Parts: sequence; C-alpha cells; structure tokens
Amino acid sequence: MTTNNARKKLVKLLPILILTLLIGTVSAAVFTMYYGNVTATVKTPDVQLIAGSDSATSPIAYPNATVTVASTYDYATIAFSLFPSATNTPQPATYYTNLTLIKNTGSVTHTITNITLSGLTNMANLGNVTVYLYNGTQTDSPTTATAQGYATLTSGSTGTVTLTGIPVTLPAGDICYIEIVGYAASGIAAGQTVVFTVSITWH
Amino acid sequence: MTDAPVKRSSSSKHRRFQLVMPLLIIFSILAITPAEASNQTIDFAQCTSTVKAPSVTLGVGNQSTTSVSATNDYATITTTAGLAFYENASGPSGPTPSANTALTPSGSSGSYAVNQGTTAYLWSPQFGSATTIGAGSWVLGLWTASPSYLVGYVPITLTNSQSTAVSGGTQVMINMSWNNYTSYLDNPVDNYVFFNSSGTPLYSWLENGTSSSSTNSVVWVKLDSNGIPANGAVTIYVGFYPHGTNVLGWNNATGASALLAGNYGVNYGLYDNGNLTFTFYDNFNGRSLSSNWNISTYGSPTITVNNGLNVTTAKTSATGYNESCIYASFTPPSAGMIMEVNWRPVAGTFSKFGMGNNLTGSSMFNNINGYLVRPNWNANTSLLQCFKPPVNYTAIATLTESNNYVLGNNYTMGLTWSTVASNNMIINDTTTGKSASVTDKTFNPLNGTQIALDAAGQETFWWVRVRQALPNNVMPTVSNGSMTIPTNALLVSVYVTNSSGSITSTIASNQSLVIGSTESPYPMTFAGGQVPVPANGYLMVSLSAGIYASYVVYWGTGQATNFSTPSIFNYVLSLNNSGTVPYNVNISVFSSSLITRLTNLTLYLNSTINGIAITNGVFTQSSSTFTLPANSTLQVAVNAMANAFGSSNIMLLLKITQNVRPFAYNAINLTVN
Repeated sequence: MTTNNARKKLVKLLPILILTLLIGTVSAAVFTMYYGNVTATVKTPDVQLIAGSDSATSPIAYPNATVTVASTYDYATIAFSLFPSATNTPQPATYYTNLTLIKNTGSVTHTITNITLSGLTNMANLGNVTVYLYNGTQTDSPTTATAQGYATLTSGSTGTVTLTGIPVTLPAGDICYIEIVGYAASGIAAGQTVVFTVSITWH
Repeated sequence: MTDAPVKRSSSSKHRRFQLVMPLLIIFSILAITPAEASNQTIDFAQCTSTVKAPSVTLGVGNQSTTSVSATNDYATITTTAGLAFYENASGPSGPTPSANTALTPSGSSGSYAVNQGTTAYLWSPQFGSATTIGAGSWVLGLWTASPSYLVGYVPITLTNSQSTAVSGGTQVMINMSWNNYTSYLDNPVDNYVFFNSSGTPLYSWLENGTSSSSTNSVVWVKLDSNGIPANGAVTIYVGFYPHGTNVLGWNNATGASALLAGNYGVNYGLYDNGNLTFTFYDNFNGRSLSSNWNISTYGSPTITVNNGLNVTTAKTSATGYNESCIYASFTPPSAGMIMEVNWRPVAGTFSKFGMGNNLTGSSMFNNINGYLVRPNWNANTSLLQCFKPPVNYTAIATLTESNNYVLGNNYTMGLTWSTVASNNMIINDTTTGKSASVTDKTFNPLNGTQIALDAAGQETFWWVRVRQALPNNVMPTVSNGSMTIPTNALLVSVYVTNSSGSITSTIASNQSLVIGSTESPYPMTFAGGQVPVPANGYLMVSLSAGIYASYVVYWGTGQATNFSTPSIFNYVLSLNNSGTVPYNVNISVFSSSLITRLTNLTLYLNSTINGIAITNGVFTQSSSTFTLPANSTLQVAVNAMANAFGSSNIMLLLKITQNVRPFAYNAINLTVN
C-alpha cells in the first residue's frame, strides 16, 4: 500500500519535474554557465571615469577643483568651489568645463543607460548647479552649446534627479564630458558645503 | 508498539501537493534563469562643493551711479555719453557768435579760435520729445593745441613827459627786472607776452637778458596805434603763461634777438621777430640777402650772408680799401627814424652806415645825399662822427668815447633823425650809452630815403633796425605795478533752447575753466532743480574767452559734453584681486542694444588698456584679456560720446581664471544714457 502510494505520488510529480526540466533548458548557454565550470577573469571596466584638466588647478586660489578617481576607475571623488551669487542675467557662476570624463576604453560600443544625481545634502546652501553631459566634444560654453543631457539642482531639490538626454551610445574610444556650472546661494558663508552623488549606469 | 507514522488522509496530502508544486516550479525557474549582473555596472562620482569667497571681486569706483551686488560679482553702471556738440549749419540760428567759427557739418570735427572776449556757440543734437535734465555735474571735454592764457600779469605804466604825443607804433624800450617774476618765468625767459588794455598782444623784441634772474633786460615793445598822449600815460601789461609754454617765435608777438639764439639753444633767427617789432629790420638770417636790399655797383663788394652779413671790398693800397655798400629803400615814419646797427669791423677803415639816397652807383661817403655815421676803426681813435656829404665833409656831430674803437669788437650804434625834436640829429653808441646831437634838417628822409650799410675793407653786420623817433628823443618812463592773477580764462555757459534757438533755461552760467593742451575733462556744477527741455529743443554751450586768453578749441574729438558721471579719468568700477596668485581676466561683450548712437565708447582698464571700444556705432574691440596681478586693484573707466539722445546698453562678461579652466564669470551691466 505504501509502495503503491509512493508510486502514485511519483506519477503525479513526474510531469511537473519534466516541465521543470523543459523550462530549465530554455537558455542552453545559461544553463551551461549555471551548471558548468565557471572561469571568472578579472577585467578593468570598459567604461571608466577619468579626471579632467580642471582638477589641475592650484589649490590656493578659487575657483579650483580636484578630481580623484579610484584605481578601479569606477568611483571618483570630486571637490570644487562655488561662489555665492544672486540670480541675475547673465548669471555669474563658476564653470568646470573639463571636470570628469567618461571614456569607453573597450573595443565594443557601450550604452550609458542612466545618469542620476542623488544623495543630495545641504541643498539649502545652493543657488544653482547644473550638471551637463557633453558627448564627444568638450565646450567652455556648456550653458549655450547643445548638451547631450543635463540636470539642475536647486536649493529645493530632493531625492534623485535624472539627467535628460539619456541613454547615449558610447562607441569604443569615445568620451563624454561631465561639466558643471553653478553658484552658491547669495547669503551663504564660506566653508559651507553641498554634496551630491552622480551615478552612471551603462552596459 | 512502534509509533506508526501519522497517517494523513489522501485529501490532505493532495492539498499540500497542490501548494508545494507551484512554488517548486517558480523556484526552479528563478534558480536557473541567468542574471544580468555580468554586463551592467554602476559608477559613482561623489561631488562635494564648498562655498568660497572669490579672490577677484568687483568694487564700485568713484562714481555714485555704480552699484555692485552683495556677492561682488555683478555690477550695474549707469553713465551718460557726451554729446557731440557741434557748430550746426542746419541748426537753429541762435545767438550770433563773435568768434570766427567755420560752420562744419555734424559728425565731423574741426577747430576754431576763441580769442580775447569773443564767444563761440556749440549745439547739441536736437531733442525729439520734451524731457528734463537733472541737476548734477557737467564735464566739458575740450582741448586746445596751443593754450594761450595767462597765470598772471603785471601792469606797466608808460608815461610820456613830453608835450608831444608818442606816435602809435613807436617802439619803447623797457628795462625788465625778470627777477621780480622768477616764479612765473621759465629760464631762459620764453613764456611772457606784452599786451594792451584790450588784451591785444603787442610785439616785443628781447635785445638782451634771457635769464629769469636778470635785473635789467632790454625789451623793445611796439605800442599799439594809440601811442601815448602828450604829457600822459598808457598802461600796457606783461603777462605770464604757464611754465613750459614757450611763446617765442620769429612770427609771434614775443621774440628775441637772433644773437640770443644760443641762450635758447635754437638756430639763429628762429625766435627773432624784429621785422614785426621794428619799422625796418634784418638779421641776415640764412644764406642769402633778402630782396629788401640792393647792392651798390660802386666798389664791387663781395656779399656773403650766413646768419649775419659780411661785406668785403678789395684792397687798393697797403692800408686802403675800396668802398661799397648795400642799401634798402623805405618810407620812414612821420615822427622820424632811428637807425641802429649791430656790427663788427674786421678790416679796413671808414666803414659806415647811414641814410640818404643816390647810392646806386656811387661812393657813400662822396656822393650820398643824407647822413652817415663813421668811426675810424683803423686809426684806433675814440671818435664816432656824423657827416652829411656831399654838402659838408666836416663832421656835424662828434662823440668821443673813453676807449678807442678797435677791429674785431661788436658795437651797436645809432643815428637818429627826428621831426619832433629841436636837436633832431643824434648819433649814439648804445654799447656805451653815449650820444651826441646836432640840429640839421637839410636832408629830410621823409621825402624818401635809403638806409645803407657800407664797408671799406670788411664788416660783419648782425642786424640792422629802424625804429620810430620819440618826441625830443625822450623815452617814456616805465613803472611796473603788482601782479594780478586772472580768473576768467574761459567762461562757459550751458543753456536749453527751443527749436528756433531761443534760450529757455540756463543750466550753467559763466563758469570759469582753464583749458590745457591735452584732452581733459573740465567739471562744472549744475546745481538746482531739473531743467525742462522742450520738444525739438537743443542744448547750447557758449564758450567765451577771457580778455587775456586765446584758445584754439578742437571739437569732434574733444568737445563740450554733458557727462554727468564718468570721463576718461573718473573710474566707474574697480577689479580687486585679494588673492596671492595672479588671475587672467577677459572682458567681453555678452549683448548690446542701441549702440548705433555711440560715436565713441572706450572702456579703459587703468587708463592704459582699451578693454572695449565702439567707433561710430560698431564694436571695434569687443574683448580684451589682461592679467590682474596678485593683491592688486585695477580701475575701470568709461568714456562715451553720442550723436543722439537715447539709452544704450552693453552687457559685459568678465571671465576670471588662473589659467584657462576652470573659470568664473562676473557680469557688468553698462547703461549709457
């Protein structure tokens, strides 16, 4: 009786197991990689962050900027100065037009699928900061030239802000420039800071 | 007994199976579906911006119409362009100018003289609609190539003690003690002028004493046509120009003997205006004899002119020479004449000078109809004698000097023939101050005469002059008054007129300015309320020269303006670098509007660098890059001129960087009304 019951259960489960195996064979390659021998080769990423020439400025005078890229080329620490200013036309501001580069160092085309500004801290100190993405050509007139995309932070910005103009294709060897134009709020004392994180997603 | 497994009913088992299996399927799917992590990466850039005070900031200049934002990066400048005031041929008739100004079309430039007491008028472009002009500071931008105004003048009273008037045009000798006016005079003296009570310059000729510390310089001044009344006096003036204003010249009112050229470091004759001061004059400047002179055919002289005249005649014996002369015809003044020569005997005897006629082809001594003066050089005598050949070969006047006349020395001697003196004939040696007189009117030079310079051997003549005789040969006495400092160099008024040029309001009235030789602003105060300007009205500027001043006013380049704030020397803005490193600064035009009315606009950086420039409504320089040294301040000035009313705006960007990047922009909003 017990044997019969077990047999009955197996008969009932068999179609399900067969179905499971059939589903598992949908991607033979994945299936192979998942179950086969795995060889993981360490590579530097094709898309790398590179410090721009703005970071070479003497630190004893302003405006200046420093850009430190991690040895893994996927993380950069950027520090730059901003001057307080009131809103005017034209707007007095500080221009970092060769601040950080995104370079496709690989041999195949990649795509930047998203760039966001997040981790916004001390936004009340800000007048305005606009982060521009220029694809292929650096410009000293980021506010008037045609940018690939941009996003603006103000004192009221919160959460995550996404750059416009994305995704962008980055062929092998090509460079995108992150350029920043900004000013602090007019009444803010020297020494105050504004912090944000630029996140770049690519494949 | 063995615990049996808990038997579950078949229906209960079936339900568990039905629940577990779907989960198992989903788990299986999830477990064997490959993830995307291997080809998707997220990069981060952590940005920290720190607020800093800028090292380079904008600051207000010395103009109240400039404001700078609290963040020192945005400046607003409001200024007023100078209007291109001009003599407008098609403008209103207005008041009649007494200065002789040539009408010139608008938009061009020119100049004209505004001399003693005359007035010129300048006109603005025509206003379109009615408006008002606020009180403020006006700046007259003018310049003159040869400013002619006095910083002080002294009256000189000339008293004629004789019962006969001193004729107009008479040259009077004035002994000047320049040392009384040392603080006014250049050294050597060159910045003075004599003038009459109307301010008209009088010709003067400095014979000696060029040092400003001289106590007895001899100056000959030619009186105006009024002369000096009998037993009366006139007042003339000697005025002093600003230091460095050299007014000496061969064609000027003020001159000096050619023999003083070395004292001034100029060429012989350059400052000698004797031909303007005296009735007849020649300093034998240059290399040829002037056309005033004729050369006698008698005696075949050799004539050489080389900044001085040399007359040489041939030797006829061991001690004898031919005699010959040059002569010039002229009409003496009715009062009579005084002929004087400055000469130097070189060789021979009996050289002479004189006046008469019949000199064409004869010996002056034997055949002249007139008078001659002759020392006897070669005999080393001390006699100076006057003869009147051919009637009488006996001296009619003899002057005995203390010392003998000798060859090689310079002498100044004279011969007077006066119609207003009893002893009308005088010979004198100016060098020693001695004279001798006699009455002889048997030859009347007024009937036509020639003056002659004669050589019997070799003579050098430096100059010869003829001046007008004085009553009884008595020079007027001279008395100097005290120094006056004139205050009315140039009187400037600014008016509002209607469309026909009739004055409707006064903005500034008779304000005094002294204009220099370089383009400069001359501020005037326009105190009071607003002045209405009628529709189609004008602004009119009058320029009246003071009685002792003369100006050549240039306009188009420098002209009357209505600057209310800046000029080329008034700073509207400062650029301050408080940092310890230099900055590269670029100033450039961001945008502009209505600049076609600006005939000129220059934004100066420290008055030496043209930052931005507009000429005739077009940017001729739209950017400029310069270095702002560490811990420095650079001053910015604006000079603007317009040919029409209106408001122009120029937005400027100031790009500030240590190298090339990064950089900051400041902004300057410049409005030119």
